[in-house]
Amino acid sequence: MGKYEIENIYGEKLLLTSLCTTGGCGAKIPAGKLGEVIQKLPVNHDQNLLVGFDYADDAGVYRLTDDLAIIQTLDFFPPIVDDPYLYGQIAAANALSDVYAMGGTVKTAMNIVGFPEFLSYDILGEILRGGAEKVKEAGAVLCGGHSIKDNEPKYGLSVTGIVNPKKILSNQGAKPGDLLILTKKLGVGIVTAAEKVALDQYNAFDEAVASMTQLNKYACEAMEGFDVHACTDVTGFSFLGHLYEMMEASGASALIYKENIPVLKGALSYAADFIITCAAQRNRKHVGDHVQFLFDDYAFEEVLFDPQTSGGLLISVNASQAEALLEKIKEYHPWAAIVGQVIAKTDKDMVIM
Amino acid sequence: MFIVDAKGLVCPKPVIMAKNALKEHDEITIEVDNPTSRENLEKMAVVMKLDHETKESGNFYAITLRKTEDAQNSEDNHEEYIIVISSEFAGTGDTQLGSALMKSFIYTVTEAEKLPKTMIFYNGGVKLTTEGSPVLEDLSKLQAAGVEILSCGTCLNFYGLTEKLKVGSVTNMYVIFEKQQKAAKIIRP
Repeated sequence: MGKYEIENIYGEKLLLTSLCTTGGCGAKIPAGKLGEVIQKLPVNHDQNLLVGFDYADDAGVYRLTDDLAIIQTLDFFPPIVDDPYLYGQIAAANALSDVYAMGGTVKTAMNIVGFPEFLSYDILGEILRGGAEKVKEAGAVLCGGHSIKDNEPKYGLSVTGIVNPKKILSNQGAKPGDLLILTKKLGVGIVTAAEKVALDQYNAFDEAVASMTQLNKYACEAMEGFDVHACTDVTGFSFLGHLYEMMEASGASALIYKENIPVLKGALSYAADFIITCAAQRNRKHVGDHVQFLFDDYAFEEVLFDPQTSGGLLISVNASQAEALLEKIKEYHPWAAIVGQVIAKTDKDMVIM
Repeated sequence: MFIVDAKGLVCPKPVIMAKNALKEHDEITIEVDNPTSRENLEKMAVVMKLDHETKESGNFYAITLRKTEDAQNSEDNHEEYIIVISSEFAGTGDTQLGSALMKSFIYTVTEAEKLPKTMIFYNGGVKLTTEGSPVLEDLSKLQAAGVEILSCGTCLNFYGLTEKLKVGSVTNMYVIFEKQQKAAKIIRP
C-alpha cells in the first residue's frame, strides 16, 4: 500500500490524492456555516418525516407505515488515499455508515461519480469495484448512479435503508448514566495527512486504511436487543463534534475518559509534530467552547478534533448493558471501548479527563 | 529575516514548512492565505512557546515566529539522550528488588531536568508500557511532556500484549536500531 502512482492519458505519472486540495471527510463544509444556510431554506412540514435537519442527524428518516420507515442518505468526497480501489471501498463504507448509525438495514445504493477526462477509465473501474464490493458486503443492491466530468475526482453513494420507526437510533435520547461506546480508533485524518506529506515514519497508514474500509454493519447488528438510547457515526466533524451534536440533541453532557479512547498508532506522535489538518482546526472552532480538558496534552486534543473518514459508531447505552454490548461489538471491532459516561447537563457539554 | 512562502497551500504543509525552517533559523515569517492555516500556525507557536505576531497584508497573512529562551530550553530538554529498557526489572538479581528499582528509576526520569528524547521498550520491557504496569502514570506524564515512548511490536506480540498497549506507540527493530545509532547518549537501567 502507501504511494500508488497512476498514469493520466498522456502517460504522466501522478497520485490520485494530488488532484484535490482536501480529501475524505476533511472536505466537509464547516458545520456552523452550513447550519446558517440550511436554516433559511423553505420547508414543507410532514409528520411522517421522523428525522430531518433539526438535530444534525446522520440521515433522513421518513415513515411509510407504522412499522416501516425509509432511511435516505448520501455521502461523497475526493480521494483520501492514492489506491483507487481502496478509495472506492472507503467512500462506500463511509456512505453506508449513515444508515447503520440510525440502526437501519441497507437496501439499495447508487453511485455518485465525478471523474476527470484526463484519467483512464480503468481507474474509475477500480474505484467503482471497491465501492461495489462494500455494497455487496452490506447485503444491498447497486441500482444505478450518476457521473459527471470533474477535474477533482469524487466518489460516493446515495443509500436507501429501512428501519422500524420505533427502533430508530438518532442523536437524541442519550440519558444521564448511560455509558458511551466508541467502536473504532481515532486519528485517521492525522495519519492520512502524514502519509500524504510522505512522512509516515510510524507505518501507521495501513492500520488507518483497514479501519476506514471496515463496515459499521457489524456494530449496528450487535446493538439489536440492547437498550441503546442514541447512536451516531463519528466522521468529518470529529469525535468531539459528533459527541457535541448527540449531547445537544439529548440535553445532556458527557464525561470522557482520555485513557480509554482508542487511538491509531502514530496519530499522537504526528499530532505532537504538528501534522495537523485544517479540518481539525475548523472542528475546534466549532465546538471548542463546549469542551473542558482536565489535562494539558495538545496532541491528544488534536486527535479528538481530528476529522474521521468512515469512523466508528458512538453508542449511548444503558449502563447495565454496556459491558455485554461491548463484548459483542468486540467480536468485529476488537478496539472498541467504553470511552465515557453521559451526565446531567452542566456548563460544558463535554468534559475530558 | 527568513521568509517562507506557503501561500496556496493547506495544512499540514504550512505548519511543517514553518517547523522545518525553525530548525535553521531563530526567527521566520511565514505567509499563508487561509485563516485556518494561520490559526494552526498560531496554535503551534503557543505549544512550542514561540513569540508570534500576525500581520494581515492584502490577501494573505504574514506570521512571524521567534524562538524564545523557553522554546530553546524545551528544545534542549528533548535532545541528547535516549533510554532503552529491555526488561521489566532494573539490573540483574532479585526480581522483586529489580521491579521496585525500575519503578523508582522511571519516577526519577520524570523529575529529571533534561528529559530523554525517546524511551524504547523491548523484550520484557514492554510489560512496562502495557496494561497492569506499575509505571503507566509516570510514562504518560513523560509522554505528555514530549518524550517519545516506543514499544517493540514483535515483543508485544510475543507476550500477547499487542492489544494491551497503554502508553506510546508501536515500533520495529529498524527504528529501534536507528534511534540508538543517532543518539548521543543511551541510558540502560
